[in-house]
Amino acid sequence: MADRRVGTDALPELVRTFVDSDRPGGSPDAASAGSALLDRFEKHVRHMTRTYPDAWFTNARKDDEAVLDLAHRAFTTCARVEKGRFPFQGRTPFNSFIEERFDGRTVRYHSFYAKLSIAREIMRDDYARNLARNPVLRWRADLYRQIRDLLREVAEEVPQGQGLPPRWQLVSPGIRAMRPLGAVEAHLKRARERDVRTIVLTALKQAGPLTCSRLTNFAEAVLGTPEEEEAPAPILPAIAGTQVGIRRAVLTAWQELEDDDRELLGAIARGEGYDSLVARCPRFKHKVAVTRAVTRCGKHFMARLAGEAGLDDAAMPKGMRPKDLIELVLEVLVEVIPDAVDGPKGGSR
Amino acid sequence: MSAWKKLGPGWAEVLDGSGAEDDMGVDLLIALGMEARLREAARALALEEHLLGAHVDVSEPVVQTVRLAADDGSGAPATRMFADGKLRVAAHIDGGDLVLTQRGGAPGITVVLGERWVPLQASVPARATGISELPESLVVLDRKGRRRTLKLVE
Repeated sequence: MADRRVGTDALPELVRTFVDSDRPGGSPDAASAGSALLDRFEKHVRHMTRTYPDAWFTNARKDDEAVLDLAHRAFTTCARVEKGRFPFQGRTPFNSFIEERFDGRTVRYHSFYAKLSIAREIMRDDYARNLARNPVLRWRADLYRQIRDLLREVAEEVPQGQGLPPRWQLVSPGIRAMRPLGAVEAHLKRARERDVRTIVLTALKQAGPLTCSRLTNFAEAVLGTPEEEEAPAPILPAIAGTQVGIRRAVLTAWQELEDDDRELLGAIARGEGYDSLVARCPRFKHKVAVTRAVTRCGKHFMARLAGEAGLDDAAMPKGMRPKDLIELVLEVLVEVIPDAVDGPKGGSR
Repeated sequence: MSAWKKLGPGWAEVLDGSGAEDDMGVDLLIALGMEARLREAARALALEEHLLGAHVDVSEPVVQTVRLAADDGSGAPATRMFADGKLRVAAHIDGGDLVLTQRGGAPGITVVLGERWVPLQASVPARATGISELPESLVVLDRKGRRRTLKLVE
């Protein structure tokens, strides 16, 4: 059974045995097949993750527990989640491996080692969630947002081809001498440059086209990562009742909104630009219409929150911070608003 | 900075001067918009680094050479065969070195082991010192410099 023995690669057979035994009426070997296969997942995930920093793991901490948790989630995804993309095409990865008769190396490639493997997709989602929640990483996400806004304003996209993010360049009239990014970074550090706009423009002028994420890492290196704040206290169980009230209030408020007001609130909850809203809902082209809708939605939501959850605009419930309230409201809205921005849930399809 | 700018592109241009920023509940909408934009940026940044392959090393661990109890009697090192079509190379570990012997295919191949190149002659063992584990596959260059990958077959 072991793929440790040279000359045999038991992984495809392990997958087959597990899938065969994991269905109703399957063989009684499910537990042992699952255990042997999970053992392989743990081994390869441990190897594959050795190059990643903390930020890519659950709770932004890389330890044995986090790596093990990732291996288990990769296993569950391979066993249970039907993926749309190549080479899975609507099948679970395990079923794809069997039907396509993949050898052990190919199974490992799609499960762990490919740039877009199942395990790495889960890590990407964990990283995105950490970027949205961890105080220091939120700073990085906000820096990325600022830089992207700036690039849209002053630079032009240079496509890199399918499956790769664009690079950005300044519209330039002539040939310029390029410098290595490390040298530009050292120069800006020496100059103690703190302005993000200056940092980005200098990098683009002196080092040529760069992706937004590369510019974010560059700016982070120049500015220095902020000190980690003390972790916020978890929401106390004592206010769980309040959370239920807030959820109910947000749902009620949403259901009572007119269609146009839903469009407006949906645009805000998706982080959409105003022009994009107007393209979909021309009524909001008029200043008066959009102003009234904003005021109406705000008043309506506060009234519902005050009524249903016992809040008023002068005080938060005991133990709850304004940020907690916003997160709760957003979490309810993402359930009802199509494409509202949420932390990712599980591996991407 | 106008509070409306926090909602994203275009909002400040239409809402500045409206006086609505002081209305009840508008703070909540602005905070909601800021949080949504940050989450979207977080997702976009993670996706971008994922697509660029940040921190990715695609190499697998080398296969561990395991001697089974049943092999103990012979005392001879276990030889394994790598092949691609007619091209076949036998390999075994001997005293912490990898010993390679070409068993089939056109002569004049060179085995690539990371930075090291090991030229082979048919049926003549060649030793790559300091390699104590068998690789999962062998990369070789044929006489014309074409790259081929030989997989473990037995």
